[in-house]
Amino acid sequence: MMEDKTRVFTFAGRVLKNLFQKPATVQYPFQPAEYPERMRGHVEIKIEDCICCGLCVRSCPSQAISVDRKAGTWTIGRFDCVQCGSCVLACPKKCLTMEKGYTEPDIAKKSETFTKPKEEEKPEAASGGIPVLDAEKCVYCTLCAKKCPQEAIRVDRKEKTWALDEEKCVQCGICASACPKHALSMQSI
Amino acid sequence: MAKRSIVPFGPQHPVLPEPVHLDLILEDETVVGAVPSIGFIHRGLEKLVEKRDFKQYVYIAERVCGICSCGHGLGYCEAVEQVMGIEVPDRARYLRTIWVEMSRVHSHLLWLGLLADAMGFESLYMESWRLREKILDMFDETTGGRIIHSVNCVGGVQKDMDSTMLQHILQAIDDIRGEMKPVVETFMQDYTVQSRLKGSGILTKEDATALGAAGPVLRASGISYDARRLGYAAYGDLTMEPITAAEGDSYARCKVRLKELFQSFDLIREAIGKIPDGPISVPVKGNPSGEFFMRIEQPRGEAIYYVKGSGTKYLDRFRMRTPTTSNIPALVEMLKGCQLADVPLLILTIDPCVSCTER
Amino acid sequence: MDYKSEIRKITTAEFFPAVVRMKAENWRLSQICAVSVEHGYEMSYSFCLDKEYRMVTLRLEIGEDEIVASITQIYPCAFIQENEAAELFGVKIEHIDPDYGDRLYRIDEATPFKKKE
Repeated sequence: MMEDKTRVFTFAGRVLKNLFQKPATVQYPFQPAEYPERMRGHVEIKIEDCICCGLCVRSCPSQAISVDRKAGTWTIGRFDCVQCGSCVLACPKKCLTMEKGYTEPDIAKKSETFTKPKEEEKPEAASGGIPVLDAEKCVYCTLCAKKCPQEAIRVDRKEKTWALDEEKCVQCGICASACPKHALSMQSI
Repeated sequence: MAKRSIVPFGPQHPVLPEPVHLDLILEDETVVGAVPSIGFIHRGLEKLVEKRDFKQYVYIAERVCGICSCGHGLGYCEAVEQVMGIEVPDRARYLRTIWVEMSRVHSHLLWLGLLADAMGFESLYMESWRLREKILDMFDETTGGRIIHSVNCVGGVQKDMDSTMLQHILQAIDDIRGEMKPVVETFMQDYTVQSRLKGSGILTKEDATALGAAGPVLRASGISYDARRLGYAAYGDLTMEPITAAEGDSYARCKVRLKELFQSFDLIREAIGKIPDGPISVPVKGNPSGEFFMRIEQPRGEAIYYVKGSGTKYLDRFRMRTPTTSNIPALVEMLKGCQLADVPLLILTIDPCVSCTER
Repeated sequence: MDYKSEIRKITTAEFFPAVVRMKAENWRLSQICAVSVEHGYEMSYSFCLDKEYRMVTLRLEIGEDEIVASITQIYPCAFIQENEAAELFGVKIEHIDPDYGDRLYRIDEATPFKKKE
């Protein structure tokens, strides 16, 4: 196939075929585009599950997300988002997902804000509040400290101490679910 | 005595998709020298490594360029993994290989299309890009993005492929292989194509080494060097030989890329046949401390990724030396002695990617 | 086939003879990289020997105001990457051929990569 012969009209067959074939393209937008299952089109949030921990804000390489913990809002700049899916991976509550379909074009940069429903303010068992240690159950395995995305927990195996930096804690509850002895519980302040 | 004149060429030119500017020194219609200049799309992305943590930077490395995106992500991840001493699971190594080879197929088909377009062979251009679309559809299905895949991460890959997806890839490759026949015959044997490519822009073997050319440009000048032989990702388990040509002209560069397409088909098939089951990523603990030069073979040639970390989550320095940076000096040499009308075609034969070059 | 790149530390005095030796042994210049370190720069010149797939990096540590000679006399292809180091990091490189004089990248700020953030 690759030898150095010289021929003419090598492509004529294909060109003639093209004349009588259906076009390779589709008549978009009259015929809508079909998106595959995994398409990274835009980020969606299940705001009821969001705990406003802010991990998505920190993981976003294009700084498109902002979170207001007091007001309980989650905002995304649709035109700053680069659809990398970094926030989806970072979310401890798995409330962020990548969905099909792109952001519609617009004349100005647009952002979208989601507000947490008000009745969610009450603390619940698994989320909200800070971790509290039951010292009797704790074996100082340091697993909670390793899992903590904020490095807010300090555990010393030898001294048998467990300390929480409340400033850093984002109340995600990862430590409580990681604890093999169930020594941590999330309690509101 | 021939009349000497200087003609500015680019950054905007009808056949050139890349913003590179050349001051062409002409004697009548013959080019005797050229001064390249870039710098129209410098974004300073290397500097951003100091402001984003090393796991996040993968997404930025991928977005340096659209066509080489998958390889940039891979090169960066492999370099960081070498610094941190992370052993990537086998399945992840194979998945990376499959995706990177697919991106080679799409990059080479894109280049073939652009080359045909530069010669004014519109139907050949459309045909190449029609075939490329099948690969892009497979990317869309397996990664969720046609161009930017965001699948590489430090410690492995983010997404797995199930057996249906692997079957679809094999099907797409077989389709393309079948339909490539008239395209290959046209590029290699057609009278018009040969008259534009044969004997133009010759780069000798000595010049190729001296001017530091990379990738298909280097191999078309008879030097058997392909960074994939180093065995990163899963290439150590697969069989491949660098593809070379002796002539060093535009025709040889075209031939090398066409053969590499078929080599990629074989590599994907082999990788899909051998892919083991297992986890696709390992957890990453700690921060990188140390430095490493990573060489990988991008579709356009050898790219070098340098990573230097000092134990914090922000890297000190990340450097990306992309194939076009090394190929521009070779291009200047190729241009000497050619006709003004051949200049756009010769620029295309190094497969320039200025967006990578300037970062 | 060695995956890793060997890094050889050399002094300014040894630098030029080392590059000339590389050229004589037919090594291909593969990359030049500048890194800002405290009180100066680290320059890395990487060379590849294609037959053996080896890569050697010459590491030159220089002070902030120290002048480095350009290697474009030996490796003419170094001009883009030397200009880049000079423009983005402010490394003082002498006699680059051709010298773009901080006009390789059309940027407003002088030496934007020099300061660590």
